[in-house]
Amino acid sequence: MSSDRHSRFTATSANGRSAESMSPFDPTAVSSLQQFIHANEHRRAPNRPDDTHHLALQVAHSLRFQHNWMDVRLHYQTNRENNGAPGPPRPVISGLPPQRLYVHPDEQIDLLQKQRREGKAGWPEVASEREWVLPTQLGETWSLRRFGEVFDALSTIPPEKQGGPLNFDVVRSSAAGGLQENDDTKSRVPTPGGGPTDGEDAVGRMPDASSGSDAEISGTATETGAPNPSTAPPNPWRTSQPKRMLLASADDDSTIVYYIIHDGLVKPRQN
Amino acid sequence: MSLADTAAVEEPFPIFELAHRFILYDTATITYVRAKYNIAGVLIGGLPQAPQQNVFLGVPLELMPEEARLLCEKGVAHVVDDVKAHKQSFLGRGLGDEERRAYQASLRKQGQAAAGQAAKRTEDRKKAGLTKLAERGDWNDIPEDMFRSPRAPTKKKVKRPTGEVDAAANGDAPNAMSGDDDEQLFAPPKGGLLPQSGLSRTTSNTSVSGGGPEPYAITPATSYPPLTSAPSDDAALKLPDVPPSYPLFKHLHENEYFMAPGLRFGCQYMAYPGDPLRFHSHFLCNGMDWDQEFDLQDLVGGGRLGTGVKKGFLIGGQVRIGEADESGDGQSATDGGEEGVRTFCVEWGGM
Repeated sequence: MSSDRHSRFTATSANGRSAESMSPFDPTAVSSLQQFIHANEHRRAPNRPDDTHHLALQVAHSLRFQHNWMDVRLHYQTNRENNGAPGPPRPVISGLPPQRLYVHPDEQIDLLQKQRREGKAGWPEVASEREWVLPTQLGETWSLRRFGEVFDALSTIPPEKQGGPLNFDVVRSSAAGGLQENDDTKSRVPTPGGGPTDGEDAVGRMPDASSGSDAEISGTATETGAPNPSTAPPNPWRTSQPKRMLLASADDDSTIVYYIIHDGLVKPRQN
Repeated sequence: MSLADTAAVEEPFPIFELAHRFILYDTATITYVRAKYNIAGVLIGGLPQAPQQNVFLGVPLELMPEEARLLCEKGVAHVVDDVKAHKQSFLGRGLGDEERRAYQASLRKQGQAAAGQAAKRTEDRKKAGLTKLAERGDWNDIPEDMFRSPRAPTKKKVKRPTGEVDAAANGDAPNAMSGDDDEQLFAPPKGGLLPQSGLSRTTSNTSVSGGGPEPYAITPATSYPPLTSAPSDDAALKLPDVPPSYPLFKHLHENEYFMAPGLRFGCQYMAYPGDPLRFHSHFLCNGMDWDQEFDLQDLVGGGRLGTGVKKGFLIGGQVRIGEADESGDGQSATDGGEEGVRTFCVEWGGM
């Protein structure tokens, strides 16, 4: 077990215990992040390094539980390689933020004008859009070439129902506070397997049915009532703009900062 | 000021290189370059009306090496080594005697015209003042002298020694206009200032035949009426040296952005979507080599800075295809092919 490498990326758990700390109650207790990583080891594509995998899992954990992203998936391959382009040099994540993450300034003007025409005030309801996330660590060095390679491997809009869904149930069942999301079997994809159970069983029970990247397995949590963008036609603003992704950068103190990177010239938002 | 209004500037126009800076002195050229080529530059000259401040500056305009190189590559400008040109022409035998005399005569004529205009202005002001006084005041209040027309001041001082700014002469100059003190302060300086150009070595006496005030001494803003600058043959070889961010500069320039130095924000350039007087800048730009490694921390820092000041942080560079299959199609770091530059904009994710 690569616990040494774990320690570089491990965050303290929700209830404040970490793998290294000597808890007076249970010295073998493992943090929720670590449990999550254990539960999703199988998601790593063969012959890919552990550290980027664990980093991606750390970011996915933060997206799901800190920022309430939905349908967080891990991708070692995107469908771009159908055209012969190589896959992303490291695993990327895609997910659905709870609210729309990025509104282009021109789209903002457009929406506000539409609101005014319809006689409404304020900001309209906009459907959330699926985003790509690139997990990195803050101490890394990158180059323009590498960013170019990542962008070349991504599609403009992350596809639904592709990539490896992650097992988040592990964390949910073991969290001390007890999150009220028992309904997570209700995903858009009917599950062949069973529902969520506690951590240890789930690891064994998640069959890696197909090649691993397209397995449709439960664990993708969908909150009831969230807008369902998969049925809507793609936003023309999204398709006409350059590609974008969220650069997630994890620091040694387990904070993760998120920056949007556009592949081209895009004027800044007026924040 | 539309492009049609700007005085036509002959291309290729000279860019003067002085102490490793690229300078334009002529306002017509400066306006032309701004209107036609999206190059704003930085004004670096002090204003004579307000010398003790540097918020507002005047000509000359300094160009970044990237801007100078861009103009030279387009073929609309050429670089002139100013020091060499001046030494050759003025100290050497470059400028003939005939030309010198003609130039001095033209300067003197300009000076006379300027002095005449200034004298006329003071006259008009006096008249206006007098009429106002006459309308409402008592005739007895007006001093006698005012009723006399001002005697031509030149009848006292005809020959002046060269190389002297005789301030005292101003004081005791024939002041027929012994009006208010205020008027006196605004009267044209009789001695005037010496011309700054090197031509003053052989300045002739500013003798004035009677009638008409003494001519002002004109300081020409540019030495290039007497001198001519033609692009020399080796100008093509001598393109200004630029930092490795030049491909990004060129790419943005071709997309109609105005670029300004970015020192204020710790980046290389600031990119304005239009004239800097009309718009705020959109991007803080850092150009780099395609394979140059940078810390992710710097990218994050740039993103924070940019978001804090409502700009995007832009990094970009000339794409270089992998070393293995470089097929010699000219995609090197110095080739600023527009389609070959790729840019990435960074802004805070808001979460």
